[in-house]
Amino acid sequence: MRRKALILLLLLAAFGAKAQEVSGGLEAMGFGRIVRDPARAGLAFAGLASLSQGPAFGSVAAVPFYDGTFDGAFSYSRWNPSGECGNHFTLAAAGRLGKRYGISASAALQRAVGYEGWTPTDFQARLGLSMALSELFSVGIGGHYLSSTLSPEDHLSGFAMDLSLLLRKGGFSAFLGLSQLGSASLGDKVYPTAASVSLGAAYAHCFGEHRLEADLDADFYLGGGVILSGGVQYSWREFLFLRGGYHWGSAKAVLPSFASAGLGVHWNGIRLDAAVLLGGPLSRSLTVGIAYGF
Amino acid sequence: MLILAACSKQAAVVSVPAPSAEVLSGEFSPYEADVLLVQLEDPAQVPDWSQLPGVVSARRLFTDEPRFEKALHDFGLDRWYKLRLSGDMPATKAACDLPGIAYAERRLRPAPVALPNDPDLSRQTYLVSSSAAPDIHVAPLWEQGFSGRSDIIVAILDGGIDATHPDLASHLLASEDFTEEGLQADVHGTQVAGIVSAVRGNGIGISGIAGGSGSGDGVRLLSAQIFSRKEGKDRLGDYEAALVWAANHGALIAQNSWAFKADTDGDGSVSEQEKASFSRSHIPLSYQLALSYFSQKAGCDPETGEQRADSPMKGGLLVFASGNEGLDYNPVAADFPDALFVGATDAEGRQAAFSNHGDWVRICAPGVAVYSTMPDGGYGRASGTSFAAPQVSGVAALLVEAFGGPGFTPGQLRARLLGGAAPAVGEIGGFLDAMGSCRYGATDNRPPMLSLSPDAATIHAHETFRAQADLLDPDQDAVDLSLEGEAFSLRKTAPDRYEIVLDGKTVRAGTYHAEVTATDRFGATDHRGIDITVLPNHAPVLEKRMNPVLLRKTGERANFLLTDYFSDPDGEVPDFSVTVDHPETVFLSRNGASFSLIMLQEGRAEVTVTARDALGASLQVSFPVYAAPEGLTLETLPGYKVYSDLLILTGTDPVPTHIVLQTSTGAILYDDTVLCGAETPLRLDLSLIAPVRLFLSVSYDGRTYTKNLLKL
Repeated sequence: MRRKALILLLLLAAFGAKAQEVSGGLEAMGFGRIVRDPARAGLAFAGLASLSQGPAFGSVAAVPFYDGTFDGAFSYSRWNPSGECGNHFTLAAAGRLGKRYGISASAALQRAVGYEGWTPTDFQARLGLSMALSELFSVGIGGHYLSSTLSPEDHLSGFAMDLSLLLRKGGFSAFLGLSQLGSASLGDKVYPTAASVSLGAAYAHCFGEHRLEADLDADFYLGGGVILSGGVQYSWREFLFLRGGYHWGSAKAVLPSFASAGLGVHWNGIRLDAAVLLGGPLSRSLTVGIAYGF
Repeated sequence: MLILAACSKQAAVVSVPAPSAEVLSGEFSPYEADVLLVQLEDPAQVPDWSQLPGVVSARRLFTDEPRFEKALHDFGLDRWYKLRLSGDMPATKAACDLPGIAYAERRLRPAPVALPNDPDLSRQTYLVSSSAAPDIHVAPLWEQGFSGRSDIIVAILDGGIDATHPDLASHLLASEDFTEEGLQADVHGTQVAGIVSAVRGNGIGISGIAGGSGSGDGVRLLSAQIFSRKEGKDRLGDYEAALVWAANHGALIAQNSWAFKADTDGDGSVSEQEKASFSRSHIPLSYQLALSYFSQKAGCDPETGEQRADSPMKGGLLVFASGNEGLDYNPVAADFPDALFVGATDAEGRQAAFSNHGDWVRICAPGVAVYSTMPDGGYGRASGTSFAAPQVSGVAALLVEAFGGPGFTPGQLRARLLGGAAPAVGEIGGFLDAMGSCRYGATDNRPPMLSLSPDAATIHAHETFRAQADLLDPDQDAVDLSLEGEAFSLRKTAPDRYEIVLDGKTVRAGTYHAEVTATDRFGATDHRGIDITVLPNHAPVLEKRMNPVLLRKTGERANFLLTDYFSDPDGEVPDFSVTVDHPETVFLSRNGASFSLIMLQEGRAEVTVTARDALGASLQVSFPVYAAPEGLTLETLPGYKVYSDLLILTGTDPVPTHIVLQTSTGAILYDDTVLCGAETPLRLDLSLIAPVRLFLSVSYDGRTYTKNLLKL
């Protein structure tokens, strides 16, 4: 009787209830915040301040501090297999210009699967310039073009910009930046992009053939969401890399929470990396990549 | 028709060019078949008519009292004889066989010019109109005291007048029959007489134009009966003699509502042959003489030929109806241009289709549904130039009263009638204007006064501006109104009132100006300006979103009042159209500004509502209707594209349902387990979500259903 009454009450409540609010989704073009770098994917997307990887996928501010001259990379992701599953293809490159300057560019194409008769496509192009202010500081500025095919008749597109500042001293590095500040439009309506104030910190310590690095990032989105991500990387002889991390997203964040695990093999400038996301709606998302730097 | 020539012994010269002899000798002929008019060489040498085979009777055509004999002799009218024949002998040849005959001619057969009555028109609007139809502007003359005087006589040459009619009896001076059938009360003649001089101010019936002031004045009438009817046949009288008699017995105006007809075969239409023949016809000499006699001798002493002391005019005015065959020729006009031929206008003041016309028709008056007296004390309406002509005769009588006196001539009277007429109507001359004729030649003119209300306004594009213009002339002259202004139109609504209209739907937004000018007969003017602003039109707007509709079972109804959803910024109520793309799923019932949707069967339908304003600007809105049957698994409303609310429906019974809604990047918008069913859908508000692809996962009863959605 009580159960029936409870069900009845729930029925009446549902029938007379107002529309329920949802959380998040306030910013457009959230796909622009997906990390394409398989190494950082293994660190649960942390590593804004890291200087241990090639700069092709990383922050443009890190390029002046690159030991080499040029770094090129390609990655593939099988994204969100339990939701809107998609195949992501990314091409990135970075290079030093003289002793103090750096440039990086990338283009990413995402194609969703599971739609009948057409394929939704998201595209992101990025270009960045940077300059080392000193041996310790570098600054970078970048621009993004983003577009998203929402339906065969509806297309969203926009522009965003980055500002970044990188500090390195010894094994410690820190990052401060404004990420993807911009807007996108659909018809005559304009929406903000998923912009955030980004903080990052990394510390690496070598002991013999072993190296251990910890990375911690925080993004405070202008739309109200917060993302915290942290990861640990172990490398042996700078040849074999093992990674793990955790990504936490608040209710309004553009990305959910997940854990990650990653593996990498580097040899003679060639880098092979892979990572898998664990737990949460993005569970079993896979990223692999190949890069070459000199 | 007849071509006149001198008659000789050797040849019968009375020839008839057309129609053919068969027609002439047959039943239908423009001539009287048994009448021959002959002119003697010497009035004292009268032939022995019995010597002429076929002559049934013979008498002088023009006869009267002895005191008129000299006048008749001076005009040669005493030499004319009318012979009535048996019909066996061709009239022409027979006449020329006798000595002493100087001339012989056939007599043309005229007919009254009346059209069938139209009883639906109002009474006597030709005198005083209360609508836009023009009248002859006689009321101001009455107000000035000119309403008819008993010493002015109008001769009605027509059918007989009802001498017992209470509205005519006291004004009928004398009646004379020229048909030899005895006096009869004829409809046509009585109608014509009433227009001229039905007693005015006696509290009964109608007002004749010159019917007096109610104190026993009013013009007097002579009835010269030249038409009668016996045993079903029309009889024609000696119209020539009637005219002379009228002149001799005091008439100053001869009112003739009859004409020679072109339709000689009487089939009701004028053939081209008849028309050609008619256009070459001329009136008989005897008749020409009679016309001249009246024109010169009316109002004059028969002995001296001078204007009588008691006569207000020297000579007589001849007034004729122009005819009703729509032709442009009249033999009387061709041969006697001093006569006044009157055309007829219709109820709108335009040339009546039946009216004869041409430059010989120099004046016109209303001729459709003219209300007047009828025999046996009755009243009725009639149409035709017959009933336009007596209006001119009546006004002429008033002008004689106003201006007549020693030396006043028919030429002066004619000049007033024609000079004071309103502007010409088609090809039937100026429109009769009694007051205008009275004011003809005046030098003390005062300008008209024009008032406009309103003279400025601001209207919406769907509205129509209307202003009323009232005219007043201190001298009671007729006043015309003209309008200069793009997009404005002018319409007469009453004798002194017009309506000015600007329809906002026919012009662009902006300011419009018009100049309105009132002009009287003498060119004096008054003018006013009108300034109208037409506001831009705005399309209807949506006041409230038309949300998706869920109907759960067959027969369930959703009701809508369209004015709750749409409005027009300009204040008008739009026209609505509502359509359903799948009427087999949802039935649309429309009732004015409301409609209902009734579920017929499972499925989905799109309802499209269009609101359109008077200028065609429109707003179209569509919304889905979902007819949800039993056994539903997973459905969402509105379907693939979501703008605000998302409804999630599962099976018929509410069961615990785990619902996850995420973006394409994997961000979770909603993740909860709720009781959800077809009767109790989960409603999520996505109105604040930026455009993004969505992925919905719904799990209940051990099954999981997914769906791709799009938030716009």
